Amino acid sequence: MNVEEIKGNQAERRKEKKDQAGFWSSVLMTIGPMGLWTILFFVFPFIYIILVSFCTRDQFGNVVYEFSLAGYQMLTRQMYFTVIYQTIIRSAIVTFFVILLAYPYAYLASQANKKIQSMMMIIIMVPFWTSSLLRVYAIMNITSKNGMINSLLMYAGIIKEPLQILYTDAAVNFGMIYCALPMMVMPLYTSLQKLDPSVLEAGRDLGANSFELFLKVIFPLSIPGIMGGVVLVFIPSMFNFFVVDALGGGKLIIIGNVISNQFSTTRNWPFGAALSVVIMILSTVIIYLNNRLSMKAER
Amino acid sequence: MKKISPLGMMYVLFFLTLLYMPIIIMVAYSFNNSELDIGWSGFTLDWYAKLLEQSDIKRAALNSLIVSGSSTGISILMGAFAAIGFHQFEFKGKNALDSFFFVPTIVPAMLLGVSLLSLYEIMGIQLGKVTIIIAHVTFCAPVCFNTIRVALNGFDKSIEEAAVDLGCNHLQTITKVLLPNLVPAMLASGLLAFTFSFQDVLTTFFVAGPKDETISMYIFGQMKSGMKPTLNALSTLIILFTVGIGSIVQVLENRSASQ
Repeated sequence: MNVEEIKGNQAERRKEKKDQAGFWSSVLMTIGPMGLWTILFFVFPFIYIILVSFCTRDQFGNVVYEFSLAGYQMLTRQMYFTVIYQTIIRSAIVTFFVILLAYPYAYLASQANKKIQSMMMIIIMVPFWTSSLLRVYAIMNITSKNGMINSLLMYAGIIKEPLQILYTDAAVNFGMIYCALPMMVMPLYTSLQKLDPSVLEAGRDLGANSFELFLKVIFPLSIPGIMGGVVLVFIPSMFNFFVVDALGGGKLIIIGNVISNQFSTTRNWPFGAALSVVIMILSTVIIYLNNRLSMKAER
Repeated sequence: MKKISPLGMMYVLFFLTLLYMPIIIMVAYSFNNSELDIGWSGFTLDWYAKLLEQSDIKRAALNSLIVSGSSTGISILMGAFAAIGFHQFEFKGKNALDSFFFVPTIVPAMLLGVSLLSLYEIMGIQLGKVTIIIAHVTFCAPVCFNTIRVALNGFDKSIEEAAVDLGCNHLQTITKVLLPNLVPAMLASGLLAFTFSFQDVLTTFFVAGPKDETISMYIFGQMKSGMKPTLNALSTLIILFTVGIGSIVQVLENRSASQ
């Protein structure tokens, strides 16, 4: 090996090193800001919340950094346990009714001809793009004492005095269902679209009735859509405290209200953090199951 | 493909009535010439005129425009940069990073709000517009990143190769070839991010300073004290605004899908 060759090799190696440095600096320049942002304003705060959930507080509501399970112990108190339990039941009921109402629409849309299909999907875009806060306000309008529902019932002679609908449990449930409806149509429609009408025909030819067809062919195919909807409806329903505040009139509370109170008025951060962590774990399990199921369905 | 049966047709009508009735009634009442919600008593534009007189609404609207506008700008920039990086470079852990960037969009908005509030407090940051913008960018940037990435995936690699063959370096390929083609995706993702930011209540509730109420926070505060005709008018305007933005997004997405 002569001197020239060695020199050349060294130069090449140096160039390679420089190239690699250039490569990584370009990667950092493009992806770096987003990575840094996510770590600073998403990962850090969440780690901090987990940390706080294992701390305690002094009488002024300041966090004391000592290991304690006081926050988690609060969860087992009768009062909070009831709220957690009732919220989960309520969200489950809401999710069930949302699926029940949205399913036929999504199914009909998926089976119609192309033109009607796109028309049916475009028409639900207006409620979809309207913020759920405004839709809750719209529900306040129709459920109030002189609102449309009472006026119609009185006009029809079914009732003589206006019913108290607003600020009841029923109004809250209806509001939650109403807010989630357009969200549910999308995932259901996407999964039902894969249903080949000729498969249904074949099933019918083989003597299956509509119920059997639904149970054995249509429903299994729509499971990923249902699960996607569960993620979009069930989890937010546990938190949407503005629906409860506006339609429940302050008489009702859900998990979202409890967490929000701990971080504002009551100032019991460890408890609020502990509750957040528990719900976070619950949500993660649901999302994980959803991913597993949809992957299975795709195979 | 078949026609919808009469029974199915009835269900479709029922479903659409359910979805639209509350919104239509709210819009109609914004033109109702009566302070109380007791039936129709004539057409008026008074409530819209009253909106313009209220300085707190104007301030909230201005706050919203500043907050959502800045969050959108930052989100587009950061999302586009990251998406281009993902498109141009291959490296270890890319898929993991991809899902990592996606997580802030699936975490419940409220938990993002309370965790950021705690971060601000320990770091001694005063709540204000900046704290809202930081929160909004955290959940808006992933939206931009995803939309732009999808657009880049559909981009014809041979055009880039041609640019390299013609003597473009990395940077020139990005600025002269990729960026001009990304404008529709950046616009669509920005509008999407803007509506998310504009409509957000669950995160903003925790990270907004007392003087920096956004329009959604203003409406939420007013709603708790009952119904007002001016609120109907304000809601109607906002619906027009967001549905307008939504339609533009849809058109942009359809156009890029058909290309």
